[in-house]
Amino acid sequence: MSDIVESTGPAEGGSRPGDGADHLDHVRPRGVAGTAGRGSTGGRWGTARGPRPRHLSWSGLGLAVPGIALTAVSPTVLPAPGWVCFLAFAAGLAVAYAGVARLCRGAFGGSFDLMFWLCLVWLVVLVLAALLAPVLPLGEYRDIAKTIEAPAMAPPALFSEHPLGTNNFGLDLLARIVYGARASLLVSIGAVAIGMVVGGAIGILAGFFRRLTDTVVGVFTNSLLAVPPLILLIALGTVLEPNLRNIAIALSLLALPSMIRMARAGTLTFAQREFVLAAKAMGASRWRVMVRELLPNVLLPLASYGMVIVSVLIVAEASLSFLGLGIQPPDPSWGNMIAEGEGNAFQDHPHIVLVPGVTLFLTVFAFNLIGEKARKRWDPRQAKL
Amino acid sequence: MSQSPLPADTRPPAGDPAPLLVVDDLRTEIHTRRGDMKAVDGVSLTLNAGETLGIVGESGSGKSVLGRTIMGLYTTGATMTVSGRVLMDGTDIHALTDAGRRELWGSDVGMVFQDPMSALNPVKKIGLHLTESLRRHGGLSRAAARARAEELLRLVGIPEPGRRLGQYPHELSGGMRQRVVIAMALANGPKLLIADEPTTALDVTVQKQILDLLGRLQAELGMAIILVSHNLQVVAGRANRVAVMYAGRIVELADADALFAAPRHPYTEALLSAVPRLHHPPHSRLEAIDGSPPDMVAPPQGCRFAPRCRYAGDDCRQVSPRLLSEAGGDAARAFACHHPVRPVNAGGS
Amino acid sequence: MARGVLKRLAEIAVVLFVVSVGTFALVDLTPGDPAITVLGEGHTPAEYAALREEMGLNDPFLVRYGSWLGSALQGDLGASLIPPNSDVAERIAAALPVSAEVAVLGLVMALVVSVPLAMWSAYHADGRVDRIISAGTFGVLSVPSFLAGLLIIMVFSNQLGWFPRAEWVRLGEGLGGNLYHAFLPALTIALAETAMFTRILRGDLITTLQEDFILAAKAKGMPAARVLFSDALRPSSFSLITLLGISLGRLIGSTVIVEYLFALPGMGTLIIGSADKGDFPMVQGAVLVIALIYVLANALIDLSYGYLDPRIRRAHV
Repeated sequence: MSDIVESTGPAEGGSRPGDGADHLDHVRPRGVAGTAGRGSTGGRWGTARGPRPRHLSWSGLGLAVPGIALTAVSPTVLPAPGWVCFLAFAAGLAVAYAGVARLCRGAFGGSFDLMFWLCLVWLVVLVLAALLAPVLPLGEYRDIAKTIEAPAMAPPALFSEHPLGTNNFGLDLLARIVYGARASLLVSIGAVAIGMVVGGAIGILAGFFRRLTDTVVGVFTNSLLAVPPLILLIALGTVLEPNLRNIAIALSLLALPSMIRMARAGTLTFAQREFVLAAKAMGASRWRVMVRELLPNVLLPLASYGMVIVSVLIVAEASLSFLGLGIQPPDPSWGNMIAEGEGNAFQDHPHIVLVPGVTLFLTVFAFNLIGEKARKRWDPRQAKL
Repeated sequence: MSQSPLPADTRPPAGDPAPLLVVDDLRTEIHTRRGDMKAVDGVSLTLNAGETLGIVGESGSGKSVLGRTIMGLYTTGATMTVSGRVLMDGTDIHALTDAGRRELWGSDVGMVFQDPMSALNPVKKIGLHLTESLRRHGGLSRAAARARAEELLRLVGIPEPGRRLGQYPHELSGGMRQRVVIAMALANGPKLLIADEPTTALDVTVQKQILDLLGRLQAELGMAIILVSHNLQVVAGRANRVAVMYAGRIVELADADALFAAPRHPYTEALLSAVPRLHHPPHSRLEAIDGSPPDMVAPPQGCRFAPRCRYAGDDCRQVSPRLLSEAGGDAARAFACHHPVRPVNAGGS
Repeated sequence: MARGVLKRLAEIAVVLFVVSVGTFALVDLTPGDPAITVLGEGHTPAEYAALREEMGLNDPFLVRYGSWLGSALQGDLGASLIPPNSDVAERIAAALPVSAEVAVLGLVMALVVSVPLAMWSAYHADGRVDRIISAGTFGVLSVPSFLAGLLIIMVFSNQLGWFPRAEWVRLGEGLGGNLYHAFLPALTIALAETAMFTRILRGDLITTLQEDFILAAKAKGMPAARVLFSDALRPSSFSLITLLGISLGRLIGSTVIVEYLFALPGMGTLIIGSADKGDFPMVQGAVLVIALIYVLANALIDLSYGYLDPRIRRAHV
C-alpha cells in the first residue's frame, strides 16, 4: 500500500511501535476490526484521535481508591504470610496506577504520561533530599557509637522513629539511603562532568589537529574500550584509595571513550562549516576557534549523552561498592548497603536488601525512562536503534 | 446526457463465459492515527480469463491498496477493515480462512511488486526464493524444484539461470531482479497476475523490456493480468481495458482504445493531457492538474474530483456521481461524472 | 578480505600492547609497595631491601615492563603475592572455564527466551502481550545484575530451596550436577541479556515485517510461521550478532558479579578476591587475559558478521 502510506505520512521513525517507553503508557490500542488487521499500529493514536474534553474519569477514581487502599493496607495490617502481603501490595499498586493514570488523562488530556511524571518527581525528591541531607531530621547514618541504644534490624514501620527500619548496627536506613544518594549522585554526576571536560577537550583536539594527535587519541580510546567496564573499575579499585574523588575519576573513564568520539565527530563536522572557516579567515587563533566556535557546538550532544549515562554510572558505582571496592562502610552507599544484607541476614531481614535495592531500581528506572523519552523527542533517528 | 440506471459491473456478460474475477463493492478502510482512511471506496469490476486490466491513477488514489485487497494481502501490523466481495472463479477470497487464502496465493494468483530491490529477501538466494513456492504448492522434490526454477528463470529471459540460482539478490541488476520477481509470481502457473507498478523503480530502458516480457508471458501462458500503474503510457497498448482511479473510486472504466481516443471523465482527460505525445506540435504546453488529491480521511462531499475539475457545477459538490454506462452509448464503457467530456467526434467540448 | 583481516589484526596488536602497558603501569606506578604486601608487618630493612632487589623493583620502569611482558608472552604471568604464592597463569587457567561456561550458558538461555519473545512481540506489535513484554523488559533493564542475583538467590535458594548457592561441581564431575549448579548463575546473567535482546530484536523485526519481501513471501502462499522464521528472522539475526558484540562487555561484567555472588571458582571471584587483598600480579594477569579475550571476541564477531551476512560479504570479497 505504498502509495497510500506516502500520502498521509507513515508512522514516523521516532514513534513507530518499535521503540521503547511508549508501551509503558497504558493506552488502549484501537480494537482490531474486520478480517485484515493483525494488531493495530501505534497504540496511542487511538486515544489521541478523539480529543475529549477534560473530565473526571469515574472509572479511574473507581480503580484508584481501592488500589491505594489495598496498597496501604497490605503491608501493615493484612494478616497473611509475607508473600501474600507482597502480592496484594503489588496488585494494589498496579490497580492504583491504572486508576490514577486514567484520572490524570481525564484531567490533563489524553497524552498525559503519568509514568514520566512519577519518575521526574522521584528524581527531584531524591536530589532535594541528597542536597538537604544535613538539615533534614534524619536518624544516625554513620556513627555506630551513637546507636547502641537503637534497635538493630528493626523492620520498616512508616510512622516510627525509623520509617525504613535499621541495619544490624541500629543505623537508620532512611538516613543511610539519603546519604547514600548523596554519594551516588555526587560520584556519578562528578564522573560525567569529568568525562565531559576531559573527553570533550581531547575529542576537540583530536578532531581539530587530526594527524598524529588523532591517531594517538584513537589508540587511547580503543585501549580504554578494550577492557570491559567493570573489569576496568575493579583494576582501578585495586590500586586507588577508595574515596569519592578517586571513584568519580575511575567512573569517568567509562564515559570517556564515547565522549571523546562524540566531541571528535562533532569537531570534524563543524570544522568544515562556514562560520569556523570565517573565524579562521578573520585571523582567530586556533585556541579561539576551538573554544569559541567549536566547543559550544560540541557541548550539547555531550551533555545529552551525559544524561543517558548517569544511570549506567550509578549502577557501576553500586556494583563496585557492593563488591567492597567502592565506597567503604561505615559511609553508606546503596551498593554497600545491599552488601550488608548478603549472606544470612537477608533471609531473616529482607528489608536490609530490599530498601536500598528498591531505591536503586527506582532511580535507575527513572533515569532510563526520562533518558529514553528525551532521546526520542530530540533524536528520533537514534531512538530507532 | 442521460445514463442508464444499470451500474456498469452488472451488465450482462455478453456471450462471455463467467469472468475469472468479480470484484463487488470492495471497500478498504485503513486505520491511521488521524482517522480511518477510505483507501478503496466501493470499487466493482470484472476481469475475464486472459484479459489485461490496467488500473491507473495518481499516487494515493488507492490503486495499490486495491491490488492487494483483491488478493486479501496485507502488511503485518496494518489495521484495516475490508468489506465487499472478491470472487475468484466463484470463490469469495475474503470469506476464505487464512490457510485457504494461502493455498490461492502463489498458485492461482501471483503478485509482482514495485521495487524488486525490496521485494527479494536480501539474505536468501535466488534459488530459495523460487523453490520454496514450488515445493509448497507443487509438492516438488528438492531437485525437481531446482530444475523447474532454472526453467522459470530461462522463461523470464535470465541468462545462465543455473548460476543465478546460487546468487543473492544484490548480485543482480534491477531489471534482472524484477525478472526474478516475475518468475516467482509465475512459479505455479497462476490464472491471475497482479502487477503493482512493475516498472516504476526501473530504468527507462529496462521498463520496456519488462513490460514486453509480461506481454509475451501472457501470450504464452494465458493468464489474466491486472496492471497497476500511475503511468498511462505503461498501460497504453498493453491493457484490454483500463480503470482510472481517483480518491479510492473508479471514475472511468472503458476499453483501452476507446478511453485513450476519447476520455469521458474530466480527470481522465486531465491525465491524458499531462502526458507528452508524439503527435503534439512541438513546444505545446503540457497541462499539469491543479490542486492535489483530497484527504482520504475526510474526503469532500459529492464528486471527489470536483475541487480540481474545470467542468464542476454545484451538483458535483452535492451529489456523488455513480459509475454508469451512457444510455445508447458504448455498453462496455462507464464513467462517474455529472458533466462528462463530450467525445471529440460528437462535436468537441 | 585478507587485507581487512590484516589491518584488523594490527589494530588489535596495538591495542593489546597499550592495554598491557596500562595494566602494568597501573600497578607499578601507584603508591603501595608489593614488597610490603609480601612481607607483611615486622620485617627488617635488610629483608625489605633484599626482597625489592629480588623482585626487581629497583630496575627502571621499562626494564621491569620488558621482563614482565617477555614472560607474559611465554605464558608466565608471575606468582601471586599472597601465600601460597601460586602461579598466576595456573590459577587463571583453572578459573577461566568456569566463567566461560556460566557466561555461555547465560547467553544461550537469553537467546532461547528472547528470540521467541521478540517474534511474538513484533508480530503482535502493540497488542496487550507486547505491551506487557515491553514494559517488563524495560523494568528488568533497570535492575542491576547484583541485585537481580540476590533476589534470585532469595527466592530460589533461600525460600524455595530448589537450588544450592555457594557450591560448584566441575564439568568433569558430571554434566547433570554441573548444569544444576550453573543454572541460577546463568539465569541471573540471562535476565538482563534477555531484556536487551528482546527489545532490540523486536524493534528490528517490526521494521523487517514492513518490508516488501515479507509481503512477497506471503504472496507466494508461504505459511505465517515460515515467513516469520525464514524471511523475517534471518535478516534480523545479523543485528543479533552485532548486538552480541555490544553486550559482550556487560556480559563479562555481570559474569564477574554473579560468580562473586554465587561463590563460583571463576575469574570473577579470582579477580575480586585478589583486588581485595591487593594481590597485584593476579589482578594484572587476570585483567590482561580478560582484555585479550574481549578484544579477540569482538574482532571475531566483527569478522563473522562480515562473513555471514551476504550483503556485507560482497563488500569484503
